[in-house]
Amino acid sequence: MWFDVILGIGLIVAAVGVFRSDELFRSVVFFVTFGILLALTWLRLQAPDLALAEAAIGAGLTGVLLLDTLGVLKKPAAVKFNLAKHTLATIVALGAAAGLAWSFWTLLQLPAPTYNLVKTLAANIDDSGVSHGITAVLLNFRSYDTLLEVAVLLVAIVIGLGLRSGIRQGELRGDVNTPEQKSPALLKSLVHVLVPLLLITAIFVLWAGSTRPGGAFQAGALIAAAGVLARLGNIDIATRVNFLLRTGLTIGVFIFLLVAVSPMLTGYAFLAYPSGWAGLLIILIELMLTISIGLILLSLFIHAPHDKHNGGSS
Amino acid sequence: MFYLQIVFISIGCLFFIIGTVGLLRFPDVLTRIHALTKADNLGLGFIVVGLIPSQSSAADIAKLLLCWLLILGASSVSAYLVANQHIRQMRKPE
Repeated sequence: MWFDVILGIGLIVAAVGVFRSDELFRSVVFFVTFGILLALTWLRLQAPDLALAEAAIGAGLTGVLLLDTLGVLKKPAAVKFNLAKHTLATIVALGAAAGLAWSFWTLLQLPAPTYNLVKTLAANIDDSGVSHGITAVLLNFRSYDTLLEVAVLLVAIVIGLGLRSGIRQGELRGDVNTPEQKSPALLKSLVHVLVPLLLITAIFVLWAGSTRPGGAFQAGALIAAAGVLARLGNIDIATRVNFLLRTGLTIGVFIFLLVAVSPMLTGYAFLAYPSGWAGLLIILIELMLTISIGLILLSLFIHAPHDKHNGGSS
Repeated sequence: MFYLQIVFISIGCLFFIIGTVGLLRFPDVLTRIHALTKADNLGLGFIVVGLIPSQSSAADIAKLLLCWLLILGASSVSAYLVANQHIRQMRKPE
């Protein structure tokens, strides 16, 4: 009870800290703290899948991306206090809070839903091909949503790569390999230990997804983390395999679409798995999605425009 | 055994508190890193030792110890990196 209260207060403090910090760096640190507290909150709400995803993607990788962006940004000019803007922002914030409070209140007035999703899921889970409820929902009962989600990720990285090509060649992180970028030997040896461990963990998390919390998004985030570490340790994997990288970015959505469409040839519905094949197909999709999600998240880091005068981003 | 666990975990928490006090009270980057990495990792070790009797299987114990080892490695290397960067910035003429 008290732990939950402290957690809730900590979340609010961290959220306020993100917006009220004077320095951007401090904001990013608050943001990462917020992510970790949020992951703990999901754990307390007994949603370990979300906790894993939040810790890996929300706190970890987004934090890395934000810190990396900070290294490229020029020093921002001090923000002047603007009364009109502040008043407007306050009004909007108060309005949003009032709307939220009102919708929460109406939600409380509604009769309790008679349709119990948890029971429906438990009754149908044997048909899904996997034994973990979250994975069953994500990749069988509501796989349409997941398909769109990874499509959004793919669009994001395509736009990211497009933005990159608009910047002059030779100034990009992926293309510079100057000796001044050499990383300390200590970091290198740590990376040599951590990267294989991270990859093994990623495979385990992916495999665990069909019976326990885990799955493609979490595993993909771990792969991306391994890639980021390798990059910081100056082990350049991604730029050596540029062609493979682009194939890898799309293979998740491609295989997913292929599996989704092919039953239509024999008269099934879109995204209906042939009976008996569901478990295998889900593992296949998840494996491909893991590769794609990992590479997409990694590419967002590696192919970001980079200021060449700023060597370190640790 | 239960009371022994309480003792170990309390000692661990104490080290964390000491480390945090050090982080807040010490004057510069290097001493702060010292407080944070040394005290916290020792505290974490105590907490891990305190948690071991609660585990049912050897695999869980191994996982706990692995966590501790990995955090030891990561924190010592990141402490070195921060210190290294700090010293380099100190040496750099303004």
